[in-house]
Amino acid sequence: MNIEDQLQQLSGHLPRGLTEGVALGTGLAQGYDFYESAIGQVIVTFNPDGVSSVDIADGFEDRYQDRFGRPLIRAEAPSAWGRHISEAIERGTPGKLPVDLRSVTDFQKRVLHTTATIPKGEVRPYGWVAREIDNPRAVRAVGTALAHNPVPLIIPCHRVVRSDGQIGNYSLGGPHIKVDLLQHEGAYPQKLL
Amino acid sequence: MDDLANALATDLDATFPKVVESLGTQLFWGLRRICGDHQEAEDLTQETFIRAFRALDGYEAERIRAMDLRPWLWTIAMNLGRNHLRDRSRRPTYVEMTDSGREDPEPVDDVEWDRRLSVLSDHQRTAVVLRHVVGLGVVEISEITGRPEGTVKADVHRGLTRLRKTIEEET
Repeated sequence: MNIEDQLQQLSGHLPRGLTEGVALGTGLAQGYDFYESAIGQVIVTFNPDGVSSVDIADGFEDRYQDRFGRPLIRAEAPSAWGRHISEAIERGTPGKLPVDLRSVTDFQKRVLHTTATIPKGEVRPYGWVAREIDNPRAVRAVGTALAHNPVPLIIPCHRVVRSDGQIGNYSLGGPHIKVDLLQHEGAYPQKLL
Repeated sequence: MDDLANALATDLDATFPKVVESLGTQLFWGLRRICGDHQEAEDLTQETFIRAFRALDGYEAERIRAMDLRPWLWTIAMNLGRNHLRDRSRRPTYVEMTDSGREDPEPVDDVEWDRRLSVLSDHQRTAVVLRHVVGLGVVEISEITGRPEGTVKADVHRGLTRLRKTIEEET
């Protein structure tokens, strides 16, 4: 066999994982991994720009596809900031963790950024968030925005409660989970209200 | 190729995985033979596609339709050089779900060919691999490497002569 023919045969298969690596690196697919939290194991999805969602495991894939419509691949979070995920979940604030909020509107972003400033162990009423974003009449809209928080636990929407003494809804498993979370953080909403 | 560029212009997100499927094997093995390292070639291939996607995302549809994707990808790959790993820490890393061990062992003659190709100069090795492993034409190689066509031809010729001599000396 001449040298040209030998060179032609110096190829093989595409290495396993390369297609997935490209999909993750371009953001065409989101990576996901499991993390421990005060309410048990949660699934966190991420892309090169940051964490894009936090959800409970049960029924996660269907909810994810309905909302984001992108393929999911089990992956390790980017090493540049992946180590901050557990800390952000534990502290209930993004801190150094980049959060990808491209899936929400500008109004929702303002609500979420304000909510992220509520310290652990404290709660605020929906009206407080509305006032902080210079839109004091938008109390219901604040509630709706928080109900669609893509990154609960990391942006602590559980720290926003109703001003009439009721706990309010919680997207990550219902009101009883919200109570559990606040008690875990040392905030007893019935006393604070 | 034109069909792929057309499809990319119409729906980048849906078509890009097909570009990886269609051109990835050739790109990877060409890079593997040029750099002599499996992992580096894998990283470089991945980075090339990610850069390509970001570039295409900003292009007008007409520009994408007019593209010849294969030499364009190779131009990106060659420009990335050895500094390509700096963005690596900012990307998620794929996790193998099965514990079946590596399914793509290096071909047995890889070490032998790595040694043979390492004897060539960088220009000769790149020209020989692009011409005879990847199957690109001299004009395309000239565009990718930025070297005149006559020089590329000479690189290929001298590289092949050197390889023949190296193989002869083995026996």
